[in-house]
Amino acid sequence: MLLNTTFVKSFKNDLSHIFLHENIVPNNNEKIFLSMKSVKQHSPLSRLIISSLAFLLFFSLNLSAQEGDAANGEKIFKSVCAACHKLDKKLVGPALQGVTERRDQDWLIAWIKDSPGMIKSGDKLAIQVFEENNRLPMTANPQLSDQDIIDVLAYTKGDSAAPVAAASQQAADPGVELGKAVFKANCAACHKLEGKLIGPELLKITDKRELSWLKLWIKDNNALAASGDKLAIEVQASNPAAMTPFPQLSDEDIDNVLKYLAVGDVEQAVASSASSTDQEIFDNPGFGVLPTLALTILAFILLSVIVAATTNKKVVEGEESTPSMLKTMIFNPFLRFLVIIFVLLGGAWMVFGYLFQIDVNEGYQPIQPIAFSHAVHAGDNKIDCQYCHSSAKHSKTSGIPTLNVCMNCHKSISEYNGALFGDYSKEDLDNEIQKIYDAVGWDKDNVAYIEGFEQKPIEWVRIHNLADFAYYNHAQHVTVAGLDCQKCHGPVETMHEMKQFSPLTMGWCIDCHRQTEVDMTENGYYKNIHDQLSKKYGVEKITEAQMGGLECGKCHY
Amino acid sequence: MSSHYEAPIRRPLIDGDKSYHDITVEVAAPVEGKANKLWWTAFAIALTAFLWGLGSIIYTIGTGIGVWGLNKTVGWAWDITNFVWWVGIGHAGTLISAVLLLFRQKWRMGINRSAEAMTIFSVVQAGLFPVIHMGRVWNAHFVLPIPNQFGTLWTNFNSPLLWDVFAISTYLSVSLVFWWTGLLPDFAMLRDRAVKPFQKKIYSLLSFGWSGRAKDWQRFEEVSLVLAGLATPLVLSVHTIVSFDFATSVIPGWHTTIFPPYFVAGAVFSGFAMVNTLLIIMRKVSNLEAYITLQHIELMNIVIMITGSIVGCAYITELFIAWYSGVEYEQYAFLNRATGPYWWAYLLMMSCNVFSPQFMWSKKLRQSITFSFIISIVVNVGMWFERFVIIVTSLHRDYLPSSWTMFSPTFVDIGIYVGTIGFFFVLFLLYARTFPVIAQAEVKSILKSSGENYKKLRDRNHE
Repeated sequence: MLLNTTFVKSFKNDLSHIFLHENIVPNNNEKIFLSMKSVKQHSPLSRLIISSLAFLLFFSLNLSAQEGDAANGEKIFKSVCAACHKLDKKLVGPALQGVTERRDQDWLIAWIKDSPGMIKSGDKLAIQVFEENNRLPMTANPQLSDQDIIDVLAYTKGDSAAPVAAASQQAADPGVELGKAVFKANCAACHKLEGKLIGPELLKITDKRELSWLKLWIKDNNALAASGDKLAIEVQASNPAAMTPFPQLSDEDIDNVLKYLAVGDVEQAVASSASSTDQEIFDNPGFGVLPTLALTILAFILLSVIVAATTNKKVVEGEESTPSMLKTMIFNPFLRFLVIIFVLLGGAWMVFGYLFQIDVNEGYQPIQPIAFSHAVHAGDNKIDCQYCHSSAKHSKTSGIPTLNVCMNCHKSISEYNGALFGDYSKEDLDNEIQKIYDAVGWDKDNVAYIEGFEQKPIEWVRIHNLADFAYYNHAQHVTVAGLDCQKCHGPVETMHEMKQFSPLTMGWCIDCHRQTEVDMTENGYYKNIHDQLSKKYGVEKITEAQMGGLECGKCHY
Repeated sequence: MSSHYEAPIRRPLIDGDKSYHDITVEVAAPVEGKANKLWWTAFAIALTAFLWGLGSIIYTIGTGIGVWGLNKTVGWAWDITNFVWWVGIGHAGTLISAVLLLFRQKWRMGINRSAEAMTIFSVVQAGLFPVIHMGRVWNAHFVLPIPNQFGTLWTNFNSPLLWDVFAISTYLSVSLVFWWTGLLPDFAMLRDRAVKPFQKKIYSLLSFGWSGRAKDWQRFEEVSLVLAGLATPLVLSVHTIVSFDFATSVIPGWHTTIFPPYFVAGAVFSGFAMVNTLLIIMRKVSNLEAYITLQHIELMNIVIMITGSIVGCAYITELFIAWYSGVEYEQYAFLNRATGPYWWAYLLMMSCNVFSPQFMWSKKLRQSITFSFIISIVVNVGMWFERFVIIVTSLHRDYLPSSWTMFSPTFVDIGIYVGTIGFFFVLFLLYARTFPVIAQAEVKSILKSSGENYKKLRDRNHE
């Protein structure tokens, strides 16, 4: 477009030079961007054309930005290509990783659209590929548009990193893992790797005792002692609690356990979990809010330039000071009007945005008295949500578990051995566990409750707060409706620090009630309603809203 | 002059030998002059009353609605009484400027500016009550259907109280635009006459650059007519909607189909009375007797008489229907009004509204300025009691005798009412000193057809 104006301008200047014999400032052409002096002389028609061109430019910008949409490509790849191709391996067809580096894009498009046709037409490369792949013809895909194919090719390009990273897995003895499982199942009630529990600590026990002796000891320590083994009698005497015999364990199991005890918990090579979804979002040039905003501003600036360039009032030829582009823009009434509209709309948007977030506590994440991690308990250790929050299924309140729930496990887990998170060191996290003991009065060295200890509750900070005029019942939602905890509380099992996931606004409740269907077939209470409705009106699906779930009195009395 | 025909029977609307310039000077005089002691005294009294009312309002909101005299049976009393009273008063202004314009009544020109000002200021007073009588004023915006975080919780459009919101806000805004449009040429006149730079600046802003070109005037006339056409149904509907607050209920004494026209008639009745009260004083203190003539007052008295008679008719109709209905609750409601504990209010209402306007049949009385003034006040007292009687006597004794009770206002009820009167006069007094109180541009348009000197000239030519 700018080229165009330059051309028109110089052309005009030439004309005026020829016909009017005017003196032209020699470097006038260089000032074209600043002065736009003679553009004003354009006819309305040419202005219209310039403006239209500018808008076309925007649209083409918008279109071209979608070039090579890897996400779309992945979709197409999975539905069309995946029957015969994989990215990283040969399947029926060859691996497609990096195919764009080997072949020309235009050739690829033509090949994907109609490979048999290409072979027939005598394309050398096509015949070569055909021969290389055991003369298996590739299906023609005429239904795919060029853009689709470009997307697929973008996908074959972009996804290269993930499988490679996944391949670099640690090559550890599988026996260690198996042994760990056996240990967790049989030994962990009384033993820890590090630190005394009921029994002594077991890490590197293989260095202290002979393997053969350990095997016999584990299988049946009483029999070993009875057989007169000195060491066995000594060990039994040093530990007041008798050890359970494990005759059910096979030799292999015990081998594995001992392997595990020799090595301990191997720090898992942290798989590069810069999760592929994040990567996808980055690679995917789809249009978010910011790019759209940027594009709007860009459009506005360009529009300003166009308007300034085309609506410049008459400037007497040869006058020394032509108004600069910037000045024209600032004093242009139309642009001022546009700016005012923008400011007003933007202002209204901001004011409403501000008002709409008042008392919406999404993301509320206070500091808790103990660095309790849901990610460790519900995520890593896969403890069921309702193990601790057991009242969710019976009560309107899904309570915070009492400390005896903590002590169920933490009697034997006084140290943290999982992956570290946050800024915590292992000592920090052990101290956090110690806080439970400080509250209930547990002596971890003697493995017993302290006599006469005055227990103090832990002052957890409640995150999900509804106003008291709203009645919410967990049991109704968890037991009757069978909602997943995550539906409202988000992926708690990934949260080290608990935070409010949902806005808990009334609109949020109501949206769900409008969409959620009531399961009427299983529930005896609804059986009659469902039967009658389906008989009379043929209704199969009833949403919560239709059952009166939007009535004021249902939640607010 | 000979080409102009006007019936010789018509009396002049502008007294004395006035020229265009005289009109300009006399209309501008109160604005350009300085306030006298009388004005300051009146203003001080009004301001005090206003501040007292403001204090009462703040006290109410701060402490709770329980500081009023309301109880569980009588949930509406002075608040809504005053609301309806003020809305009713406001109706005369629009009636004068819109309905009389549609009927080409030239006599409206001397009084329409002040009548409209009265409308605006009294609707402002009225608008206070729906807000302050809420238990939770701070949630008042919930009456508006605005998208929100409550799953877009909407208003219930079935309630006449919501219709009130739309009616009053539309009424106020349309009246304001109508009034301001009419003010443009007059502000321009003040702008052009202003000698002090500050005044000139202010009136330039207010007059929106009015330059009085032919095209401007043509559009001005069209806009006025269109707005008059819009404002007329508005006047009728606004007070109708206000009457629906009661008429759509199930309370005996409220549930009546006669309310919409009867309330409107009452509104015009009380509104004209208020205009009369104000203008009788204004013509004196602002030396505008030549423009607000005895004929104006007489004509307003006639409107008062007519609407007063309509109201009287409605009272009789109500009584007849109550007897005729055979509904004992309805019958008791009216028996209670006449003979119950509020018999005095009913009697006051009847005597003020039914009998006092009938004096206007006498030419001698309706041409007496003093008598008109007294009657105009009596009418407004009567109309206040009409609203009070309708609201309180219907509520305090209805279906269940176990919920019968009495109502008496507290000083806060009274304080707020006095405060709104004070606020009204604060606004009106300020208006009288800063705005052109007579639409001089319009009055100039009738000078040559209805001016006394021109009429005389014409009559002489005819003879």
